[in-house]
Amino acid sequence: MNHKTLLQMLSAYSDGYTNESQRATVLSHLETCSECRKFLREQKQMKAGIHEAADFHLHHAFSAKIMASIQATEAMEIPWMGVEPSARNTVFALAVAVVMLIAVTVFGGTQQEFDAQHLLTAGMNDSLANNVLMHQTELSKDDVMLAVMTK
Amino acid sequence: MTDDYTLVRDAQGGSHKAFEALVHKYQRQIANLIYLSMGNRDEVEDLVQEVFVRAYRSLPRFKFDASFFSWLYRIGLNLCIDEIRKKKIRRIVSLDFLTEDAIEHQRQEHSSALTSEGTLYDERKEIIRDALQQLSMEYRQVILLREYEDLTYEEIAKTLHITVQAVKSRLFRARAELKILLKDYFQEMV
Repeated sequence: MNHKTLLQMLSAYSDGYTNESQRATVLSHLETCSECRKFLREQKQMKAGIHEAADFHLHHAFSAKIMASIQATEAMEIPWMGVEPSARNTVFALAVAVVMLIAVTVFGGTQQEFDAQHLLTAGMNDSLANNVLMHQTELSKDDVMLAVMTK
Repeated sequence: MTDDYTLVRDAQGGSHKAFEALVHKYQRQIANLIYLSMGNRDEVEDLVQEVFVRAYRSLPRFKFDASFFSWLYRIGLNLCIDEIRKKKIRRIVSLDFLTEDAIEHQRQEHSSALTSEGTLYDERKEIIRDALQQLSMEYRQVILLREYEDLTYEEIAKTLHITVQAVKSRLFRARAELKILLKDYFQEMV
């Protein structure tokens, strides 16, 4: 086993991640290798050093400051205080549905009216009744019957 | 003390008090992880605040797949990576850092900061923080989670989304690199 593999094993050993046989190998190697003993010692010093270097302290009211910031953000983002997001989504979906319904009714209705008018006009111009009756000043019963039958 | 599961559940149900308890519990750990990751004291408070604000917003999506701390740390890590990226862009844009005067100014500022802080103890802490800054983000994170947070390999793997084997080898390489960077530090200790 080369030294690099042993050092790698040593790193895992210091964290308790070696099995029985690996542990035995490491322990017997440590008895004879001063470099590996140094490696292990420095690893402990490094850990202690990192803990010492983590010396950032927050002031005691920091959590209150965070909560104030969260509440301020919430107040700005949600004008309907207390309303569940799912309820908001439902209302929004309903509003969209109503707008679509109105749009269909308005535009669909105009189209229908236009078509009826077009048919009526077209029918009148082409009908025999129109051609015969438009020149008469007075209409008899027979004229009306003719108009009905030919339309 | 109420456990994380109950606090998170209550916070998900809308309890500000529960969330504040979680903030109180983890703020120092998150602050120090950010401090050691970024190496700059001035920006820590703002970043910690941002971590908790983001966590609060994402809380409905937290499904207890990992520990609350791991999840929180992941948010912090992403934030740090974003911040480092932004800084790199700003540095490229400004180019001030390339002038000799600017380098000299930085060196003077750094040494006067150490002298004014005074003690050898503070200097040694600064050496550790500087060395950590020289590690890649990958190595820095794995070292911090193990040596500072004392997380198990399994927890580190879950937090960083890598395998346990990757944790093992990354940790070994990170330690080896850090030892080279801290050569003088160890000599002082002898």
